[in-house]
Amino acid sequence: MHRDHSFRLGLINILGLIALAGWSQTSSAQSPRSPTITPPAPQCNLLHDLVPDPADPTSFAKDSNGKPTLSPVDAATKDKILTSGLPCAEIQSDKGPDPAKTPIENRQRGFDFYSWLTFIAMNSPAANRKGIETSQPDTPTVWERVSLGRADDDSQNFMQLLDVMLSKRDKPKWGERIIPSSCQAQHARKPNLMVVRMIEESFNQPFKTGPLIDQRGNYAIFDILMNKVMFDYIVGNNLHTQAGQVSNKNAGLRIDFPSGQHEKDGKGDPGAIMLKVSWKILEPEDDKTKFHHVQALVAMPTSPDQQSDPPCLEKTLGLIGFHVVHKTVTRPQWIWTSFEHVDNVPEQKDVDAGNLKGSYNFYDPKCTTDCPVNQTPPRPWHPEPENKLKFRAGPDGKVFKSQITRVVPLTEATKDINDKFHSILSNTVWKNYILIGTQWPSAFPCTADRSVLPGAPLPKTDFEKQPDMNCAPAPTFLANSTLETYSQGEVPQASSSCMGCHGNATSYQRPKSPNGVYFNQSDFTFMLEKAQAKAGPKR
Amino acid sequence: MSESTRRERAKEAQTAPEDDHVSGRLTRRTVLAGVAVTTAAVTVGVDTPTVAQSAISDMEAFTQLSAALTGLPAGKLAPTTDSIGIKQQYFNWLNEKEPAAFASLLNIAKRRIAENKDTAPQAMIDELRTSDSTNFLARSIVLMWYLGSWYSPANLKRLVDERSSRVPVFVPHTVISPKAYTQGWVWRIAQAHPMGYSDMQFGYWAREPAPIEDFISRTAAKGT
Amino acid sequence: MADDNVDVVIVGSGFAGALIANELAKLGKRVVILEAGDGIPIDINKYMERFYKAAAKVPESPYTPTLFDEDTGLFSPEVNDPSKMPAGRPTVLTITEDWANPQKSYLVQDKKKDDGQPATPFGSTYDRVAGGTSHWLGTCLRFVPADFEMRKRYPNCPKGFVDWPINYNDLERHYRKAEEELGVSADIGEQNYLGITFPAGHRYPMPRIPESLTDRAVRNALKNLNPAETAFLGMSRPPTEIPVRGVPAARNSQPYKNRRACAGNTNCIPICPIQAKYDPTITLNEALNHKSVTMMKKTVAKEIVLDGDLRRVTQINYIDYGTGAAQKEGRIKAKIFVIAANAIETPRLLLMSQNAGRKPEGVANSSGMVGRHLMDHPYYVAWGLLPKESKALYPYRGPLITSGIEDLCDGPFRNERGAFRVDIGNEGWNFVVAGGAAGGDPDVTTIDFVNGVNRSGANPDGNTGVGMFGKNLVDKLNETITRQFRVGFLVEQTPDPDNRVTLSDFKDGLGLPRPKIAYSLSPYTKRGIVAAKQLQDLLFGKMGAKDRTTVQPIDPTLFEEEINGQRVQLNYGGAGHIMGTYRMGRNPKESVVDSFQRSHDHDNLYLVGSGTFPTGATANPTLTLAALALRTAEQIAKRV
Repeated sequence: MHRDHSFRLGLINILGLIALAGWSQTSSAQSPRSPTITPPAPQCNLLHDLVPDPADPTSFAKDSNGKPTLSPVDAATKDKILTSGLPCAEIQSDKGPDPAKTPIENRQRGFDFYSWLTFIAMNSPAANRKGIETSQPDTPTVWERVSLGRADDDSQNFMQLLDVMLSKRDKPKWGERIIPSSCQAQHARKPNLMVVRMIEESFNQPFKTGPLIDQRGNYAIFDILMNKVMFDYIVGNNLHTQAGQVSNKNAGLRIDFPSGQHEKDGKGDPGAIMLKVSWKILEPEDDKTKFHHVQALVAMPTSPDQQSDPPCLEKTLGLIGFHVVHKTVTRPQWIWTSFEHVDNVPEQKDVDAGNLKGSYNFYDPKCTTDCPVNQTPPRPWHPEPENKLKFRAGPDGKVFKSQITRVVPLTEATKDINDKFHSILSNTVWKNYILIGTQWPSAFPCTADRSVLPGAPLPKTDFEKQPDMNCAPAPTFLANSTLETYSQGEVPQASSSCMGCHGNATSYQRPKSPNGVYFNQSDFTFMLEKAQAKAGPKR
Repeated sequence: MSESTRRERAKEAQTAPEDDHVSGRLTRRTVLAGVAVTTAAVTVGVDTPTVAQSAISDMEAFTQLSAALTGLPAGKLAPTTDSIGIKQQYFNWLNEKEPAAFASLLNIAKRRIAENKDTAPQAMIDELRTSDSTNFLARSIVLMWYLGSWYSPANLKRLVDERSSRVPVFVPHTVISPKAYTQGWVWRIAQAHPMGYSDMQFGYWAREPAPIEDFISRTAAKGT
Repeated sequence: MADDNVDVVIVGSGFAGALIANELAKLGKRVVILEAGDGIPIDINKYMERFYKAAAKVPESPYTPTLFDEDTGLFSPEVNDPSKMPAGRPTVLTITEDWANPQKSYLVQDKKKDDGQPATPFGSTYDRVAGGTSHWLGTCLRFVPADFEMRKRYPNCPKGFVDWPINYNDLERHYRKAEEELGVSADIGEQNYLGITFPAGHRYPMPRIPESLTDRAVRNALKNLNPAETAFLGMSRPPTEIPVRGVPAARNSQPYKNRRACAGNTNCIPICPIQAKYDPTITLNEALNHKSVTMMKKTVAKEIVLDGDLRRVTQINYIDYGTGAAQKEGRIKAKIFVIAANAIETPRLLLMSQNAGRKPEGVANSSGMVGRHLMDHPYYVAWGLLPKESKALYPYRGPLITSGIEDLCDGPFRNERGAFRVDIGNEGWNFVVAGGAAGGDPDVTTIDFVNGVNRSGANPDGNTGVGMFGKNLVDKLNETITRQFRVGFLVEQTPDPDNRVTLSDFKDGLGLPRPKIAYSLSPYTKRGIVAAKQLQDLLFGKMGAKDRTTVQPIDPTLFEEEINGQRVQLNYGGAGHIMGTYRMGRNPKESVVDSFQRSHDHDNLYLVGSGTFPTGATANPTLTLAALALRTAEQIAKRV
């Protein structure tokens, strides 16, 4: 359409020009694994960060010191960034304005730019996708809303995992929330509140590595959500129960969530996106305006020493951590983006240098003795109903508070891009959120085995990702201080790496015959293992 | 720039996949990468013949030398888009442990590459075999890339000198770093993975591995 | 420790201790665990880092107390001085020709038995850290019914063999419970050999781990056998086919209790990087998630104190060496005491508990059996290389073991020789190459081809010192390494009262006497190894493999036997299965505990773990000791 075409030309004038591997042909030439686009298809954000003219690599913007720099963000660019929505795929290249940067650093910048566009699009107001600039801290975001079935909505609306992996045989319905019995009375009075039904994973980090307790003694709360593309795939393939996964019909299924991609004209489909978020309970003493926050009904989980039914509590939840994971056609190992609230924790090197702010969500700068860093709370870990999501007091009457630092600092490049985006979000609560990093599979011959590079012929390979599932994740390690608090570090296989860990995710599928080929990889998501057994041992 | 020119460039860029550095081909991109990461070999007290007009950096020479010795493509040892960067760790280690012999090896590599790129790998090997110090350091370098461990040239020479011993001679070694251990190439040459570090999926062991090219030499997607 | 109404004190937080603690925790019992070593780490970063850096990746290598110098990754005798370490433990790195040197070895190993006969090295080790011996492989085999009745079924077997006071059926329900708790993966259809039974319709918690290519090759080689070829086994009928079965293992084949499925890191021993293999810290954490359970780490029990009548245990005295520089002595009282410190540390504690001279023979030892009948599964390993014309086996892939041979572990031959089971290695020559004298593979074989030497035996023609570079090297290594394989034979050991744990005169860092070991193999057991060697020869012949098994002349476990008129050199290692030192039985004069693992002498004292096994059978002990522990927990629960 003419409007889109001239829009793109305008962008290129401002931002520099190159067309990159990553766009072109229509989806029908692509892998059969991509969904057919049914109109009206959403508009994909085609913005990309600065790259030089390949004909003249010296044509980069320079700052007043003559140093190469990204272009300043003027008003028109700012507006486009804030309103052009979700990228359906990444756009990046190994070229950049600074000749001192390596190819991988240039690509990383492109991925980080894509991450910010994604963050902005997903946290735009649900009622007005282009309205992030005038949003308030408590304006409901796009992802917090489950759509009511509008086709153009659904790619960006999300549903909580627990409402999909139901224990009954009925198929879950898109948009249908299961209200826990403990919350039903309150829900009837306030039906618009978010509902969070807590299980162990809602307060205990993956593989039971530990809960996170804020400086007021409250548990941090974790939740997992999926978009409609994932929902349709799971429910359509009957993967939402263990019985379905184990069934003969699914014995040969290579789980492969649909990928997102841009089309030539900017139309496209974002494909599968999943979220993991962390919340801090905001108390009256907290400055709510610094957090994106929601009112929610939180159903407490059961605990090993349970005496009575756990209550449902109305809480104000402040967003402190945000993982968004997006599967694209050239990155079928997904792209792993992580954001945090800027006040969560200091970097360890700032602690060592004495370079601290006044307060943090999960660190007390005034505590110098008896405050071991990055330690899990004392056990037992389960929240007790009588303490209402505050950690229990110890024998001395004091409540444990997590003292957390960021072990691996943000790169300077990430800090620069955060500053850039904060400058255009300065009137909103979103200036309080920082990108921690983006992890992406960097060995392209490997990723391309599983992907379809637009224009390339269909790969003659199957899904048996040998020798490598993960295709050299870059950066090798990535951890969110609220979601992977206790596995930060740089030890291979042990320290947090999105893909290193998610590459191990499997379903309950089995081969049809005892010696048949075992194929149970679940495409980098642990969601499928949350499917419940119809009548199985208590987990 | 006109729209049509831009489209031409777009097509070009689009058909060129995100490739790994092609072995042996010196491109401007390569030079930039070399400039960004090279640490010059220390040559105090060693009279090295100057290499005439070559633009090859020490790091590039190291990469080419390593490729010749290990039999693995330079583009796999040191890819263009390198998320691990093990070559720098090895380079620094060699500079520290065996600066003189390392400098000699790099000079041999640079000279032979400047002479004739195609015959350089064999020419380098023939020349370094003529002296114990370069011969055994070359072996240590192969073992670094293959195992992520340091077996000193002196210890390797000892194993050769005592190879007829009735009881196998034991020599100590040091793992260079956890990262180096996980990047060892001999496991990939065996179509497997380092013990304790697998990037594969459940059940892979019940099937034959992918062909060895997939482990050690392929630089493009299958089917392309 | 304040007398705050403790129900049960458990010494040791390994398999048995953690399982009992958790069972009692679920019922709200007040439990205190004393753990001699470090507590559970927040994450496994340091374990994995230590493992990756270790120059010798032995079973103990990731865990504390650390074996290595941090920079070089080399074994550091200074760091590992057993006379200075507060909670030391044995390591395979001191089982060299200097194995009996008490300056180096934590276990003080005798070179002579009580009767003057030569002793040989005890090759097994354990971890002393929260979770106990987490470096285990994961194998969860049940005993076969005959294992419980050696004396009854095989009247001619050596004197030391006795019947267990319980049989397979008595334990079957707890086997199932243990399999559920540990998360065992197996296909029930192939597990009903030699009388093993299950309730109708029962299934293991998870399907079996898929078998490896090496498993398949071994199975194919052992089909279509001539009875004359297998007569040496002494089965009731010489088999014409020897089945290869999946080994039931506590290794996830699908998500289980919030842990991932196996990804084939090929590292079960010493540590699974993703905890797809169960280890006791999992159950320990579950136990500690109950308010009524606490654990005191870095706390070594030094004496079990009896009341005035020397009947009931009143308290345990301990040394807490963890808080700051100074050690603190303390004591803890409870209603019931459980010692779960493994089959060397438990008898050590019992023997040390002399109660101011009132019990010179130690606690629970009226029978004199404490510390006696020390058993292992002597482990005979053989390795070979397929010729380059054969299809490759592609080792170094998958879990360390996926299948084994179980059908040979019972038969009439048990009157004459020790039974054995076979495990089929998926890790090539990793720990066997050159008998361990040169380090591990793939290092040794790689160095052979790079350097022109032949320590591995895979490079006989290239032993020139010239070596290889470039593509030829790549091709040669691929051709060779992908054709390596190894098999191991775990042999049943005669219970010998003179294979024993006593107290040495050498002290540890807390001033406590270190365990002394006297150990040797009986002729019955050696005949089992001979049969294993004959099976090895048969198998290798059928596979067309070149035997590369070597016994180094300096190997302290070397022994010679005659096989078909030829002198053959054999050796053995430790399987890590420490059993027998406080055996169970009905007769208090001949045993230490009853079938519930309660001391005959002291009503409120339980001794758990594989130390209660009166005979060792061939199956790895963990599942059986776990089943017994759960059975004991049920009893204790009724009493507090």
